[in-house]
Amino acid sequence: MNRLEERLRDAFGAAAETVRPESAAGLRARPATTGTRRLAPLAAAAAVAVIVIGASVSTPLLLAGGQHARPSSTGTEASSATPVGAPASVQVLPMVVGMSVNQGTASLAAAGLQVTVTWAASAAVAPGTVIAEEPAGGTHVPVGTIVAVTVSTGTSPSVTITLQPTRLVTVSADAVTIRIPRAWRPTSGIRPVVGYHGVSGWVQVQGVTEPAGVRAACTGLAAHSVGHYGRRPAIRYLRIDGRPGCEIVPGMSAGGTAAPMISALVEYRSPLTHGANFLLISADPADLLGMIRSIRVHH
Amino acid sequence: MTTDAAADSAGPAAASRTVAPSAQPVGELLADLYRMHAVGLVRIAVLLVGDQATAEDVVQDVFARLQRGGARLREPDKAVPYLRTSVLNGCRSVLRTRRRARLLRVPHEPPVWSAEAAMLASEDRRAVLAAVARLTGRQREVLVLRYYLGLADQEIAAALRVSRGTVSSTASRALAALARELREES
Repeated sequence: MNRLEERLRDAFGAAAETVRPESAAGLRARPATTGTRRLAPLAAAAAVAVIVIGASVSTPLLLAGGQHARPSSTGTEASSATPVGAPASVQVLPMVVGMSVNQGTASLAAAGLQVTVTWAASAAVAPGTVIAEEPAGGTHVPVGTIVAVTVSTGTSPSVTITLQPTRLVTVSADAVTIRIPRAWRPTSGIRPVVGYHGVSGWVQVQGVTEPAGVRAACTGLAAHSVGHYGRRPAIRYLRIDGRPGCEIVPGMSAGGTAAPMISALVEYRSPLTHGANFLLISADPADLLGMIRSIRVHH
Repeated sequence: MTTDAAADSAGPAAASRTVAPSAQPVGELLADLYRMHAVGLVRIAVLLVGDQATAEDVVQDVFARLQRGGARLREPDKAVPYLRTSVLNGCRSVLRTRRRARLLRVPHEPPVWSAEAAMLASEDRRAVLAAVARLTGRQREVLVLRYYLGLADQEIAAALRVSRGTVSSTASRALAALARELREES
């Protein structure tokens, strides 16, 4: 058996595994690129508008539940959701100092805790490693407690990189700047998403169209990407660089179906080509919390 | 390989459900096919187009077209190969559209090829997939059918509607190109 063939099998298998049966059981029909009309859904009947560049039509969406849902109704549901369930119970705080930021925040989230991440330069600790945890690990805290975690950026502080979604939506100028760790490199991948990544995490930016405004955009996205945000994501409306926006923070999801991510949505000042009027900035949950204050929107 | 068992072992199951075609309306058969094969087909598509949203679109389109036409379903045992070929064609046309017009719908999910996907933590997998993504469409298809689905060259030839010789020459060229790329990288 050839080693290259082995590697191919392994890589294909792993990539295919990213499609989880749970998420595909509710296989969703999203709007097609070129305005293709979709037929009535097959496995279940439902209709939900999906946010998409270049199209503002609502198209049928297959949901696992099979019930009819309109964007507004799913939206309301999602926006009223709370970040954590099962209050009033007490939890031993996991000790995450020394873990990678991803492992650390994942174990805190799994314990039903909320996490805020602060980045700090540290010559002694490798970048992406948790330096401090507050309250201290090992103590008993109520579920839902906000745990502040400090993560090393290594010796060099962060740099500002201007992400240009221009390649995907043909806007003529830079759209947004975000501070990211210096070591991150551009993510090669599928074109429409522009991103950077490094050992400690990743960020990506894309355009989103939702004529109905920030609330519809946020609730629509949250309801749409259950795999990433969990079943009951928390939506916080806030102003980002003075623009209307929101944060979508993953809720507790029983064995999430995809890599969890946190997103910030910012209204763009002038619509991008093809009608995208929002920028969606998504990142690993640990990262965006630290980045969100650095977001600057141009135009 | 347990993951694509759904796609492959469901062939006989689909047939046994349809022994009395008259008793089963096309819509129901379609829904059965959908339940059994959608995930497997999306997995194939994701390897070809690189992101789940687009992959789901492709599969959805295939079923939508079947629902409209329905003709093929009178031969239930051919349904799975037919679905597979349709998905390959769908992926091909998506990739063509992407190249031609850059008016792209944006997937919310992190693309499979990129660093974000949790399953692809290993650098090696990422390197392999990135190299595969740089191959030609035909080469990628052959590799996915051979090494993900484990199809024999004969079946690959049938799925792609090319000769068996073309399959083996495409595969060896693809493997050579991959070996070159991966060696250069490391």
